[in-house]
Amino acid sequence: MINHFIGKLFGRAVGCPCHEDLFDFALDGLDAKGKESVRKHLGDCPHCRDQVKDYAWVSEGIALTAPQIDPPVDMCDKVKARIRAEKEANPAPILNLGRDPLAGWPRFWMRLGPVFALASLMMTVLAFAAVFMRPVPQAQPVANAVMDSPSMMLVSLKGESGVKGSLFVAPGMSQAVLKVHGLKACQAGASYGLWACPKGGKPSLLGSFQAVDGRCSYVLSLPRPFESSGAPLDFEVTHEEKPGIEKGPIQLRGRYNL
Amino acid sequence: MDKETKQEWRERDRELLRRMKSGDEKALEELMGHWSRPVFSLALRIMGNPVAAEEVVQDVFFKAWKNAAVFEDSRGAFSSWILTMTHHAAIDALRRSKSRGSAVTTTLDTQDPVVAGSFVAPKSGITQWQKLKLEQAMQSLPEKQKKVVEMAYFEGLSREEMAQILKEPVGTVKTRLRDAIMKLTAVFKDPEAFLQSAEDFRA
Repeated sequence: MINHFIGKLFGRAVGCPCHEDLFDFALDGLDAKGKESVRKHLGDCPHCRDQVKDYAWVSEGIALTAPQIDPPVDMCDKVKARIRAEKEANPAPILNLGRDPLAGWPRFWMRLGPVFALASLMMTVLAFAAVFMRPVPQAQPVANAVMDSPSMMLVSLKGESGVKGSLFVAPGMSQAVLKVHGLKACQAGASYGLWACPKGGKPSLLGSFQAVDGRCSYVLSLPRPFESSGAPLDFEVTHEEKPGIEKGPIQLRGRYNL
Repeated sequence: MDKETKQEWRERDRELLRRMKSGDEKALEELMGHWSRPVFSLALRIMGNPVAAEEVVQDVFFKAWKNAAVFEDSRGAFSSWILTMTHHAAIDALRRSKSRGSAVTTTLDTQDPVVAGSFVAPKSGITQWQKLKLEQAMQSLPEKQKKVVEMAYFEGLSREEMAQILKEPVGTVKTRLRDAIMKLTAVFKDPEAFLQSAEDFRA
């Protein structure tokens, strides 16, 4: 303020643009450099800002002192025709905003939006996969149920070349647990079968399994709940090269005695 | 026109611009209905040629349509925006035509009733209150000051060019223009006071 007070005395405030420059600025009559310089100054000087507003008003007033003449009647039609011509030439949005309304954060979020959407989709898929594709924890509880049964029957199985194992069956249960060591992994299409061979009776297939390297416990689903008559019962594990067609060579054998 | 009515006009322009942003050509039509007269008059006053002035006006309204979204009401009235744009476009066109050596060929005396009659009948674009205030302000200026204001504004001449034409020192022209602008500013800030002391300006 002191600056402008002194300026009034001497015709110009120290450091402020002269009145001519301010007036020319209001009229958009300065070159780019001068315009930028004044604009920068106006940011810090409310006094000059007010002065420019007044000059803009004066400028508008002078414009309106021109003798008033009506324009040709088809002026509006010509402008509209020009707008349509440009719209046809450039199918992009007709409104040229002059500056980018999405500049800054809106543009940032617009660009990252698809990334977030993709990441969300992937996380959703992974979550579903984790829920629906996790290993079914059935074998262990079934094995526990068989082994914890008070009527569980343990049968020791032995074979050639050090192959041995144990069979756990429980009357009334439809599962059996087989633990074997030294059994060769099955070839493609082959399997092992567990047979119950009652003395003097016909062997019946209790279940079959695919032996895998490094695994020794197998839970077998029986076609029906296991029944025991109390009589000694032989169990055999056979190698079935053609499962379901004929009984293969015996790999393990054991007897259950009361 | 009182201030309340002026405010209503401002609201109207704002609403029309808002509709223009959404591509409403009817809004442009309405806006041109209100403003094409002062815009054309200004362009004609600067260019002195109705054909060239018409081109300028078309450019201005076309730009207004395209840049409707840029207009910020908080930074001034639409009237200031459109008139500044017109002034700039017309002075540019005038300078271009001069630099090409093909100065505007047809000069129109806008006061000539015959020429004015070739246009459509006048329609109220500016209020009488505004006209009275502005005309009185301009008329009250000493002739020499009025001349430099017109040369600077309507002809887009620099101080040096004006000094050359008027055959006077540049400093004199600058002082004269500054004094005129100061007086006009005072008038626009307080028109009532001006009306009472208009005679003082002639001193």
